[in-house]
Formats: sequence, C-alpha cells, structure tokens
Amino acid sequence: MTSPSTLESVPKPQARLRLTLDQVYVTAALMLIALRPLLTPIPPHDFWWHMATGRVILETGTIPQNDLFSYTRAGEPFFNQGWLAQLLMALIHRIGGLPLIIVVQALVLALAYGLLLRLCILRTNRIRACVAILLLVTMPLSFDNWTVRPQTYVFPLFAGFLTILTEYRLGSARRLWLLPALMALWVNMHGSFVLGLGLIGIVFAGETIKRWRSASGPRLDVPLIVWGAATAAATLLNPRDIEVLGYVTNLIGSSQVTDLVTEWSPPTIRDINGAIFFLFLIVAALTLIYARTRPNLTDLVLFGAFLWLALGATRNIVWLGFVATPLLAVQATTLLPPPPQRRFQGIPAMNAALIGLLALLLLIGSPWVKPALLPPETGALIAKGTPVAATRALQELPQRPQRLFHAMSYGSYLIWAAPEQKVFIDPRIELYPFEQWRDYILLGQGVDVEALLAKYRIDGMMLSIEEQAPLLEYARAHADVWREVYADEETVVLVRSEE
Amino acid sequence: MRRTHASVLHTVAGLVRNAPLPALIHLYGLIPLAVVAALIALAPTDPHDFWWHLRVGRIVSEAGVPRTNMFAWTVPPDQPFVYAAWLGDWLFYQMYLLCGLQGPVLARNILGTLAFALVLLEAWRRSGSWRLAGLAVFLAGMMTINNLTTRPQNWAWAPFMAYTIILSAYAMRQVGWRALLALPPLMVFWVNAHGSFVLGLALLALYCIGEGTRALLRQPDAPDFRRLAVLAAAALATLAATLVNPIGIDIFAYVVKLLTDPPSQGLVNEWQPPTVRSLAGQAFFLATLFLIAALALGRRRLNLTDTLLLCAFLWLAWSGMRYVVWFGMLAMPMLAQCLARPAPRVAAQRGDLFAAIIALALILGIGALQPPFKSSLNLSDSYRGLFADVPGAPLLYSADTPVGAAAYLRDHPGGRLFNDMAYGSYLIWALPAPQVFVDTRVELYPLALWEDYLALGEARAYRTLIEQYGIDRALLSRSRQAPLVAALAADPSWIVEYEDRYSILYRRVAER
Repeated sequence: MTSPSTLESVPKPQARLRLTLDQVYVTAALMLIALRPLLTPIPPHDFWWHMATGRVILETGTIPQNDLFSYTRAGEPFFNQGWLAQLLMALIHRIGGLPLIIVVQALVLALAYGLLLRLCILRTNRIRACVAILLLVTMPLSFDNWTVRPQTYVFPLFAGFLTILTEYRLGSARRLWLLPALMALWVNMHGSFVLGLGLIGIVFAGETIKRWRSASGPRLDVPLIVWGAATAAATLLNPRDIEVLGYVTNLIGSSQVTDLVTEWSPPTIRDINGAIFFLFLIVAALTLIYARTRPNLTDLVLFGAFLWLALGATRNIVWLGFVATPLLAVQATTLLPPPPQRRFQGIPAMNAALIGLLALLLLIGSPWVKPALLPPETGALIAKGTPVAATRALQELPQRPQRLFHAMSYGSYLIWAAPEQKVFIDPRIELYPFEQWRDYILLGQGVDVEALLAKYRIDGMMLSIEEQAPLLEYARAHADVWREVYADEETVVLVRSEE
Repeated sequence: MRRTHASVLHTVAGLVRNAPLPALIHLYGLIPLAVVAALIALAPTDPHDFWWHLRVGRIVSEAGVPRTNMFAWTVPPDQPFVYAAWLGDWLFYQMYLLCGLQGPVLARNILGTLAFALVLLEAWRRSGSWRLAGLAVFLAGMMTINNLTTRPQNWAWAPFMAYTIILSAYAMRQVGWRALLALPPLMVFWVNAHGSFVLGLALLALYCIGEGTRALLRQPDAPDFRRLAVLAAAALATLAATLVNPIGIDIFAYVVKLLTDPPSQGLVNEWQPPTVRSLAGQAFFLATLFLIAALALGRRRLNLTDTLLLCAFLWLAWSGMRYVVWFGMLAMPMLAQCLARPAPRVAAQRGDLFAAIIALALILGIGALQPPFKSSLNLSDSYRGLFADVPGAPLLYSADTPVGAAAYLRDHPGGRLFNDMAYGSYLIWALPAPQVFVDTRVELYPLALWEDYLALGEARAYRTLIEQYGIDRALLSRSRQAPLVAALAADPSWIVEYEDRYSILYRRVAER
C-alpha cells in the first residue's frame, strides 16, 4: 500500500561516504533550520518565568500550584501546566547555561521540521521539491513562533503525531502505540496537547468518510479507535489529571488572554507575519487550483481545521504550517515533470564542500562563538529589551521598592534574576484579572496616573522607554516625588522619594 | 353551472400553462435572494456615513457640488474637500424629496436586492445551476451583513456587478464587442456616485492582463488578437470616462489620498482587516474556506483570468472589511462554477403554479419589509429597540441617531461643541448651520485632531484639551465615550443640558 520511500532509496551515508546532491539538500535544509534559532537572541517575554519555575521545581522537588512571584496575586492558585518543559529548560540551563538552551532549541526545531520533511518525502518521493517547499513556504510561515519556550519543545511531538497518523493512513499501524506515550509527555509540557487529540479525531473522521464512500474494508478503524482512546486516557497522566482540560478551556476562553496578548489576536495583513500568512494562503489556494490531482480528503479537512485555528490566533499559524506542508508538497509535485531515472547527484567533493560551508556557518552561529563575531542583533544571547543592567541596579539599591511597577516583559526577567523582588505583572496572562491588565495598560499610557499609583501603592517603577513613555514623562515631570536611580537606552528605574 | 365552473378551471389551467411562470428549480435561487433582500431591508442605517451625504445632496441640488469643509469649526471653513460621491448624495436627496426620509432607505433596499439578483444571475450563468447560484447569493449576502447601511456605496453595487458580468461573459465569448459599449457610460455614473469606481478599472486591467496572458500561453478558449484589442480599447475608453467628473483627473489623487490617509486607515473600523472575531468576519472566512475546498475538489477549474481576479480581490478583502462586499459578489459565482457539473444538464424547466405562488409570497414578503409598510408589521420589541424614533421614518435609522439631542441643539444653538464622530454626521443634516468638532468625513481632519478626539473620548488629559480647543458644550455617546461621560459627570464645571438613553449633552459653566 505504501509507495517505496525515497528515503530508503537514498544511499546511506554510512554505506557510502560519497555525498549525493539529495543528501546535501536534506542536510542543508536541517542546517538552515538550525541556523535560525542559533542566530536569534532569546526574547524575555515567555522565557524567564518558565525558567524560574523550572528552577523552583528543581530545587524543591515540587510543582508550584500557587503564585510565588508577584505581590499583586501572591498565593493565588496558578495552574502550572507546562511543568515538565520548565523542568527540562532549567535542567539544560544548569548543565550548559544559555548557550546550551539555544543549542537545544536549534536541535528541537531541526528534529521537528526534519520529521516534517521526512513525512513530505514519504508522501511524494521528491526530495528536492520537498526541501524547497519546506524552506520557501513553511519556514517563513513559522519563524515568528520559534521562541524559546515550552511550546517549541512540543513541536517534535506534533510532528511525531502527524507522522504516525500519516503512516497509519498509508497502511502501517505499527507505530500507533507511540501516540499514548507521546501524549503522556505532551500533556505535561504544553496546553497544545489537545491538538494531538484533534489530529487523531480528524484523521479518524476523514478516513471513516473515505471508507464509507469506497464501501471497502471494515467500516470502523479499530486500531485507531483503540489507540486514540488510549491517547485520550494518557492526557490524564499529569499532576492534575482531568483538571487539565478545564485549564485549557479557561485559557482559550479567557478574555484577557485573547484581547491583550498579541499572539492570541487574529492575523491581519497589516503586519509582516500576517502578510506572510495570507500570502501563504494564496499560494496554497493556487496549488490546490492547478494541481493535477484532487487532494486527499483527510489532508483537506486537516488543512481546513488548522486554517480556522490559525485565523483565530496568530500563535496557531505554526500548527497550520505542519499540517499544510505535506498537502502542498503532494499537490505541488503533481505539477512537476516526473524525475529522471538517474538524477544528477553533483560532484562529491563539491557536495562535501557545501556541507562543510554550512557547518562553518553553524559554528559561527553557535552561542559560544557568535558573541565574538556577530553584531548584537544576531550575536547576543539575550534579546534587546531584557533589563539585565537595570535589574542589577535595582538589586544594588540600599532600600529597594517593595511594590514595583514595570513593563510586562521585565516582570518575566525579574522573576528569574531577582526572585526576591515581587512583580506587579508578568506574561502569565491568565493569572491576573482583566481589571489589573487594563490598569497596567492605562498606567503605561499615562492615564489616571495618580489614582492608579495610589490604588496599587506603587513605590518604584522600572519603565520601558519604548512602551511606557507617557508614564516616564509623568514621572520626570514629578521629579520631587519620583527619583531616577538608573537609566539606559531602554530602561529607567525610579523610586518614590521619602515623603 | 357545473359546466361553467369546469370551463373557468380549464381556462385558468390554460393560462397557468402558458404564462411565464417560475419553475420549482428557480426557487433554489429565489429563496436565498429573498433572504438577503430581507436582511438588507431589516438592517438599520447607522448615522455615521449617511446624514452628511444627504445634506451634501441638498447642497448639490440647490447650489452645485461643494468643494470646501463648510460644517466643522475645527478646520477652516474654506479648507478644500472632495465630495467625490456627489451624484450618490444627490440621488439620495432626490429620493428624500420623493418619499421623505423613507426614500433613501428604500433606494438602498432596491439597489441591494438588484445587486444580489445580479450575483444570482452571474452565478447561474457560470454554473448552470440554480441550487449553486442560490448558495452563492446566500454566502455573498452573509459576508456582507455589516456592510448594509444606507450610504453612497449602495449606488456602486450594481455597476460593479454589471462590470463583472459583462467582462466575464465577454471573456467566455458569450457576448460580443457591443456589450463592452456599456462600460464607459456606466463608468461616468460610477465615478460620480462613489469612490469605488477604481474597482471597475481594476476589473478591466485584470481582465486585460489575464486574457492577454492566456492568449500568450495559447490556452484553450484564449481570446484572439481582435478580441483582446477590443477589450483594451474598452479599457481605454472607460479610463477616459473616469475624467467626466467635477475635478477631472484629480479624482485619482483623491483616491490615492483616501487610501493612504492615516486617520482613515488607522481609526475607521471598516477600513480595518476582517477577523474571525465578528459574525461578518466569520462568514467571510468560512466562505473563503469553502471556496478553497471548492477550488480543490470542484469539478471545474478556474481559468487564469478568474484566478487572477480571485487572488486580487481576496487580498483586497483581507486588507479591509469594507472590501469584503466586493469579494463576495465577485467570488461566490466562481465558487458556484467550481462546484457545478462539467456540462450542466440543460433541461427546459416547466412553469409551476406552486412555484409561482411561493415566488409571489416571497415578493410580497420583501415588499412588506419596505419602508412604507415595515412599521405596521408585528415586529418584536427587541428589534424595534434597534431604531431611533425619527419623525416620518420609523424603524429605519439606528437607535444611536441623536434625534432628540439635535432637536435640543436646534432650539438652543451656540457654543463650541465637542461631539461624537457619528453624531457629527447627523448634526450636519439636522442643524441649520452646523458647526461640529468632527464628523465622518475622516480625511478632512488632520491626524493630530483625531488623536485629540480619541483622547477626549477616553477622558485622557481632557481638561487640557478642552481648554486648548475652547470647548464649552459636549454631545457625547454614552457607549462610545463612556469615560468622558463619567469624567464630566463628576466635574463641577459641567452640567447636563439634555440626555436620553444613548446621548448626553453637557454645557460648561463657571467653576462652582
């Protein structure tokens, strides 16, 4: 039933040391994918607080169930769903610091998209076309979501689900048993585990319709039902068992999450990533129009479902990239002429030189080398906007403010770098009530400043010059009340003067 | 006697057989069309983009096309402003003279129904199926539900569909060059009725590019050189026809300014991209998904020109909600075409008395929803609550039309008024010598003024801004400007002059 995989027909590197051009394509794709995270400094928002929580788990051996880091919600219950990913991140950091975190990020992404590439090749037998589609179509769609955080760690799990289910559709059920095992990991790493169940459900529905229409074979997909049920049961293998579903439902339905967080807002063509997304849709539509065969129904339903998800929130676009790529690869390759029996495989020495060149690029981009060779935009390990020096200055104050107001992303870094300094707010969006988020935004915009400062009894501020300029202007205009104790190009720290 | 009855029945049966009655199959198209027509008739008209146009229509009728601000005190009275939709405004005013305030809404209902009837015909022409044509009309109508208010754009719907049908039929060799003769005169109307006339040019350009490429690629049914030349000549003649307007070639500068105007692009809701967070947005994206599925699985493939049109209008629709209506009208007939059989069964449909009765009932039902009769229907209180009590025009204009506040201001004029943007539009119509802070002529006002307007509405540094502009009266929307309403309520230097459910008018007094 399965067509012979091109992967199997490619000479194994172990068997023949002479690199073929096909192997260069695959290796180069993986190296280029790895290069991007290597060259991207870690943004603060969704990284440091996860690391800090992982550190707590590592040190105490327990998963925190309440807020430990803020003074506005201190002690309030907080569902720490991604504890396993947090633990992993903290562990990696303990072993190799930030450079190892970045290298693991590159490996995780290479693994996830490597699995996707393998899947496309399995479906089409066209290595070079699949590499081109992955690099030119899927990568631009997905870059925006490649930040270091628990979500990235589950990309290989998503790709694994997709691979196993596709192999099953192609006639091989021998890896279905892996689904519950992968789900047991996924449910402890990120809330997107429900997508795994969605994948199983859609594949089951699509294949059932196909069987029903063809009226051949058993009407019920027994192996999929059994392993699908086991996978659903595996979602209970987490510290809060069934409550995890309630957590995901609350998160999706939370108005402060969907209204306030940019990545939860729907994509529009007014920003570059939205424009890339909609351009991708045009390319997808054109491919579907002109392909020489009709698409597989299950592929199309998967595409439709994940497209709807992506239209609802920018953060879901990355999942669409995973499910759409095999469909596009299959449809696009119908437009290509059949490959010749013997394809030109390049000159082995040139192939090796190409791989060597890319390896050199990876070496230059590695976090141990790049700070010395590259400009800060790509050479730094931590992204601009992380208040490292400002936090240090704050810690050195003889009398530190107890109720600090600060930019949201600063909250994430403070939790990690100065855990004794309780924060006003941070990217744990669902922890804080909508009213507090509204006050946070208004205060940053310089609206009702005095009333809001009084409401939260703020005695210090760590302000982002870019995001909170009106409040900074207010504070500087009231220099008798607000004393500036630190300033750099991005951040200003002020403390309230003694009355 | 019995014989007489039998004879009468026989005669009636003969008449029914010979009359041009609709067939049952036509109901598949007529019912969705009636649903869309009903939606149009039921939709309230917001004050935003209607009343100032009606006032301009009156001025055009009495003194010719105006060219300056006239109505706002925040910019100089002689500041130039292009009233590009002067003909649409004038036509609305003629409807007003004819039928009072019910007239413009009646015109909107007729124009909307006509446009969607053309969508139905186009979908049927492309697909040969009334079922699919009905589906196309329904989907196009659903994605337009937030675009049904009365305004000059209504006059552009039918010209757009006429362009679409003529060009598509010409590309499919179903009509000859004579059909293209209709395009330039139609453009003369369109360019004076609404700024969307550029879409007519865009359609022509896309057809020229698409058909030209098809000819170059020697695709099946590609046009020959003569047909291409005729199409290009029609495009040039149409381009020339756009110059027949009061400002000539400057009309293009106006369109460019509008499309790049920061306040319009940044602040006006309908210029924002559609998202799935609104009902109309959901309908639009669902229809888009459905369209992609139809393109992939459909029995027929779109040709290059149609694909080009689809992509261009899809991109346009993604860029702003106000463009979704055009995408729906253009794309849904293509969807019907994709889903249709490769060679539709062409069987003569026999007229059917039952179908005729249903069709008549639909027509009567839609007629009953029109302004002269609508108010006498037994409509629910919640629906009636959507409308303002506009004298002589019940159940037509939305509840946030500040009828009472404007009447009060007419009786108690004076002062430097700060007002809600939509209220500004109504005040321009309702006051004899209106002087508003802002109104929906968005591109008239500089961005800084709009930023101050928004800051005032949110009560940000409002005292400073009030001093800066010398504002001493404020007509506010309770919902849109709630922070300022609350701030003035708590401010002893402001007192309430007038208030109702939706609006509140404050006057500044000496500090108490």
